[in-house]
Formats: sequence, structure tokens, C-alpha cells
Amino acid sequence: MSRQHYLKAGEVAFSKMDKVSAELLALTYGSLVTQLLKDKEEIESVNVQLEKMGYNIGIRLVDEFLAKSGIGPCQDFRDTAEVIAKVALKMFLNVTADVTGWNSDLTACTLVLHDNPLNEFVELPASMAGLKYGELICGVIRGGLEQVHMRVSCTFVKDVLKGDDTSEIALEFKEILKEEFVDEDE
Amino acid sequence: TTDGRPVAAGAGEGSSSSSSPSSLSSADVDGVMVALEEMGFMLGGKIVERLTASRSRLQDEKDIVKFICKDLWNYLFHKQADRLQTNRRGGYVIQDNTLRWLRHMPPMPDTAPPHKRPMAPVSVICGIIRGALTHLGLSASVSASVAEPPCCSFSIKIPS
Repeated sequence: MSRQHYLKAGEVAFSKMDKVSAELLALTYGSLVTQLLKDKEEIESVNVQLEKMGYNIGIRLVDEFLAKSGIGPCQDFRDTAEVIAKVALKMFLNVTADVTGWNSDLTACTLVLHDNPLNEFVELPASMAGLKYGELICGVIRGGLEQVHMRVSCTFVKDVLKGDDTSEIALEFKEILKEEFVDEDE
Repeated sequence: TTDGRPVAAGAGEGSSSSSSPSSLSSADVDGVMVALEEMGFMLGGKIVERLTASRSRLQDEKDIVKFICKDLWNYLFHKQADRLQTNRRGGYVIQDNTLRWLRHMPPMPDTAPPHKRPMAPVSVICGIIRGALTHLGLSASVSASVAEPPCCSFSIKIPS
């Protein structure tokens, strides 16, 4: 399906959602990250924790996404990336991303975020250069896709908070997960 | 502190742990609540800073508490608090009958055990109120009770 179609679907989905003040979200997220930085000694473990929290959100959020977005099954991974960039991000964060930088196998791409509401009011001091501030979003994407049987890796590679021109998330397809049935009675 | 770390590990799963804390001991849960309250405290200070940037200083204790019920509540929940009472011992009770953050909680009887109660969001709000009051010049302690979600009341104690 076309990009235009997804942009429109994103608008429609966004209009249906309950809204929360973006400022409140940004401040709350800031407090969360600050608290994690206080509690953990290493910045790297904060990144891991943010990703994990995002993952836990993602595996639940995908239900709401599928129920409210009206998006059918994706044809291929390219399609999936467009849906994330144009519909899912719009629906939950009111932003869209461009999908660029496909590799030749069409398994890896880059999501270029035009705007990140979580970044509002944020300035990273030089000592926090290792912090991936928005990593929670990557966790959400990984968790959400895992629920539809896709294992991906997802992480921030560029961030405006660190002086880059754009914020970019690298998204790479790993494998299709097979459903395993375990009979617990046996 | 050193016991801060296991707390944070729990806080990470906090998005779900308020409903399924079975894997956490009650000491862990308490630690998570303290961390959440502290997080709310920071948040409350920041919000108040933004809300009061363009207005004159609030002098009176009553005005400050009214500000919490009106402006802060509006900012957080798009509505004002339903009821503000003073108790005789110099404290205040803010009541909200339809607290937005508890809207999707199932109804629960009074006999429900404490760990089943929605403590996580309420701890954050307590922290926010305490942070807001502190930044407005009132040091106070704030506690909450959830009778029947989404109805919740917060009591503010101001040491004289």
C-alpha cells in the first residue's frame, strides 16, 4: 500500500486516541530517566533498562495498535517499516519518520525521526555522551514486532541531543519467530 | 545508596508490576513505591516551575493548595479536583472522584489486600503534589487512599 495511504491512516488513528499533554509526557519521561541515572551506576545499564521498559510496553501496546489503527497484515518488511514510521509513531507520539537507507536484501533500514517529543527541554551534558535518551522507543518497536512474530534489532544511531543533524533509529530484521506450543500438563 | 539498585530493577518492570507483583517481595514493592514517589517529586517541581513562570508569587498557604487543585490538576488530568477540604489539624484533603490515571482499573472491594491496590500511579501523584508544594514554599507530607478506583483522595499534612 502506498505511503500516502499510511499517512492518512496515521492521521485517522491519531484522531481517535485519548490525548495527553506532550509537555507532561516529556517531563515525566525526563524524571524517569533521571531516576534511573540516580539508581544505576553505569550509563550503559540505563540504556539497557530503558530498552527493556520499552519492550514491556511494546508487547502490550501492539494490541491497542492492531485494534485501533485498522491496519491489515503487512506484505513484507518494507511495508512493516512504513507502517511503524507513518502509522504507529503518529498514533502514539504524533510524529512521523522517513524510512531510508535500505540494504540490498531489504532487511535493514533507518527511520529518520523529524521530531521527538521526548526530547523537549532536554540537554545532555558531555558526561552523558553514552546515554541513549530515547532508547525506550526502540524497545517499544522491538517488543511490538515480537508480538507479531518478528525478531528485530532496533537502536538509536544518531540523536539530535548529541549534536547530530537528525535523530535516526536503525532497524534490522533478524528472523520470523515460529510459534511453539507447549503443553503444560505433560 | 547501595540498595537503590535492586529497586530500580523492579521499577523497570514497574509498568506491569502494579498488577502482578507476585514475583516481588513486599520490601521490593515498598522500594519501588519510594522510587516512584521520588520521581514524582522531581516531576512536580518541574511542572510547577513551568506553570508559575508568568505569574506573581503565591503567598498564602490556601492559595497554594488551591493552585494545586486547579492549575496543577488541570495540567495533569484536564480537570479540576472535585473537592478540597481542610481538616482541623491544619491539613488538607484533595479528593478526585474520577482520577484519570485510574480510569482503567477494575473495581475492587474494600477488603482487597493492599498489594492489589493501584499504588504505583498513586505514589507518583503523591510525589508530584509534594514536589509542587515544596517548590511553592510549603514542605509537607502527602499520603493517598484509594477507596474505590477511580476515586482517590490525597491528604496533605503541613507541619506547623
